[in-house]
Amino acid sequence: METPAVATSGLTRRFGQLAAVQDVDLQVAPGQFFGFLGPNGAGKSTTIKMLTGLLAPSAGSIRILGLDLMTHGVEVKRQIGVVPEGMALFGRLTGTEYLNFVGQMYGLDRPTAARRTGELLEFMQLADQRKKLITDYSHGMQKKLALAAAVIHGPRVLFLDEPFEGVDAVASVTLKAMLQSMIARGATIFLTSHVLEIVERLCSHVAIIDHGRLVAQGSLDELRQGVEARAAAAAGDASGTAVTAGERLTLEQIFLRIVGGTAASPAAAELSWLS
Amino acid sequence: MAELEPPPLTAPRWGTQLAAIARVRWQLTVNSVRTTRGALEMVARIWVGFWFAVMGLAGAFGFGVGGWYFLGHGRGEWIAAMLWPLLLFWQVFPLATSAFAEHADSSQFLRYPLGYRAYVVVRVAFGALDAATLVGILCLLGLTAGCAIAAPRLAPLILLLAIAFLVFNLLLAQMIFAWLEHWLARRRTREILSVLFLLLVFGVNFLRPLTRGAAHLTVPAQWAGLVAAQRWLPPGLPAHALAAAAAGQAWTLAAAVVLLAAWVGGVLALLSRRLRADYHGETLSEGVPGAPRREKKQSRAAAAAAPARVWSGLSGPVPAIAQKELRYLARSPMMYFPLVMPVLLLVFFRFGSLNGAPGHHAANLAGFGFPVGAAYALLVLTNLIFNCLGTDAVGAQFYYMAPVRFRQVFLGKNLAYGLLLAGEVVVIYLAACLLDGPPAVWLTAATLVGMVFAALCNFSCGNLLSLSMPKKIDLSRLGRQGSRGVSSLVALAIQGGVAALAGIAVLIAYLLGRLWLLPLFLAVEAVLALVAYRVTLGLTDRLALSSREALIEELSKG
Repeated sequence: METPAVATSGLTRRFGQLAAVQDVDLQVAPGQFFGFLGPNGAGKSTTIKMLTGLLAPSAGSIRILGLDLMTHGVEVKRQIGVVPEGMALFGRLTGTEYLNFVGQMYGLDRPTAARRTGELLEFMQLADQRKKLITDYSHGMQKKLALAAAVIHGPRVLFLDEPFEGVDAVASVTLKAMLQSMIARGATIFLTSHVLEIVERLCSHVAIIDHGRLVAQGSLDELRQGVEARAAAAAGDASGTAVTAGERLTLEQIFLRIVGGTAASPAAAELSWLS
Repeated sequence: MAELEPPPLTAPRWGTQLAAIARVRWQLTVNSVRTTRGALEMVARIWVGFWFAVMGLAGAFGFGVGGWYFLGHGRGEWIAAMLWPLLLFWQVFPLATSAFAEHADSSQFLRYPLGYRAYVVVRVAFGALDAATLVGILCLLGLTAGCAIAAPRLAPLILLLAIAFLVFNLLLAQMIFAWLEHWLARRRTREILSVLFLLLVFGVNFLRPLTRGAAHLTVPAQWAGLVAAQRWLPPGLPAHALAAAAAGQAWTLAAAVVLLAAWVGGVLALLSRRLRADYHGETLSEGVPGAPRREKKQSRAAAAAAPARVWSGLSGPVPAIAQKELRYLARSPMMYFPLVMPVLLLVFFRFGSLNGAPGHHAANLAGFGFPVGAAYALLVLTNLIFNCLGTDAVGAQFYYMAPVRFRQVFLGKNLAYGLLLAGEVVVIYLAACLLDGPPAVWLTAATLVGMVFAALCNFSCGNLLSLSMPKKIDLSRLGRQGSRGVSSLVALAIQGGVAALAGIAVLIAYLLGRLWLLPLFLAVEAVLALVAYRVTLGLTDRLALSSREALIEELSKG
């Protein structure tokens, strides 16, 4: 059996009395483009922080590429790339300096780091901004730089927390192409995003977390079939959640049905003073 | 559904806004003691505040007695002799401690519809929350009381002049910070200031024979012109006004008051120029957005951006972190003045002893400028050493994601600070040689070995404290950053311990009557400090893991 790229068992994180993540068992196969979804406050960021070593789990285990993150932290980190929620950039370095720095931190020699820095800045269309301090970059530019830093060492697993947030359409196309080429070369990508259209277009497999618990996991087709089966069972329900014949559910619809949300909150109608 | 209410279209009143800001500051202060760390912080602040208050009260007593004596004995002009040192302290102390002191950053309120007037008030009020202001206000209160006792009929005027002098100092301190920030944000200005500073240090050496040549002049001849001129400067004006009022010279009094008001207005205007730019969203940065760059400049910048030659051949995390740290510091206005201060201290030290005859106390101390300057250089770096992750801010979480051990991170940072300190010590040595001749060989050796010992002690404790008491530092701002109060107190205690250990070595060498043995004794202490450093470096990995959540949360604060 192939070793999963990411595997968690009973992963739990408590903040005092609150269980932000509870008994999460994830399995991400190598080469998968994996989408990790959930409503606000469901535990996505907490999970990704635990998977990347930024947060200690209260219970459970994490294995990345077969290695235990707790006992082989440095070995694991050498093989992964991360774009965290806050991007973790060093604002008072230039783009070039930052990428050189990150390359060396991941063990690249100086010439290699410098060469890859140049290539990545060109690819990310940041070459003309290479001498600007990162603090002066726009949000989208910082996102692109954070992604460049995450891949400079050629990671086997890439963790991306909202990578497309604030990125313009042109840059978004570039980023997607790069991520897909990484998948084609055998890398694994673990992505969280609120933009479900992007997840649907890019990801082959999806997991959904709600109230800290994993409520669905599988390929898009598997999730769709599950929802349709449940809808069929509730066909006589007056709530109108049944799937009409021939209808192909979008990821957004699947997501809403699984987490129990509706397209629009009735409270929105009450806020008429906003208009 | 409720009836549609008309939107509140009236502009928010600035009094209401100021009250809200004051309230939120108070709430933040109160809420900060909810955690143990916050409570410790509060205790540390109260402790530090208490000692500054004691200092201020002592000053108030002195100023009170001085004011009473001078005004009561018809020597109102002499009050200027107290106001000049007070002005110097008020302005120089915040600059000298800009690497330690902390001020709330008022620019965060710009996101709200805050009027310009309100912003100025907030900025000045936030800037006034420092030790220098506390001491200054207490001294002025003492002076006011002393003068009022001596001449009760002048009490309203004394109060008015004290307030004017207080406002002048508050505005001047803010103006100096604002303009320095503005100038130092530009690389070219920093280069010019560095050259000017070096010229000053060298120039002082040439002033020395000139000053000696002027020693034959009598004191009245030297001072008469200066005393006359200072009457029209802010510290001289209140004294001049009081003397005029006591003598019943109405026109002189009016002129002095008007001129003092003009000084306040002038400083306010200069401050306003910067604050207006700040208010309109100016971001201080080396880059000028949209400005075309010439090819020549680009190639120079490209050379600077490329891995520096000095680091070529050094790969791996430790040199990478050291290089990154030095780059950060080179772009940090807040570091410039603390780094310059030790050399200025030498210059003051030298001037203090210029007219001292052989055997004069100050003249005897002059030979010790090098060790004193070197020790001060280490002291100004303690803010960084004891909070070395603070400058990384949100970037610090990168160290948790990268395949590095924290001992490597700290080694890299310590290496950078060590290089900076070494450079500073070399500059101080050269300055000491220029100003006072080369120090004795044993003293030079003892200072160098002592610095190694002290630096290792500071690194050992600083690394652990950086993990347990981190605080975000904004390196682009002067005087709006700093370590935690607790860290400062611990750092102070450690300096005391280091000084005591070095003192023991000095004492033994002195008792043996062989001061040349001092470097040897200090070397033994340095070896022990190295062992301690290695042990504490080994502890950082575990401590970093156990404190990662609190650390990331603290350093990621907006």
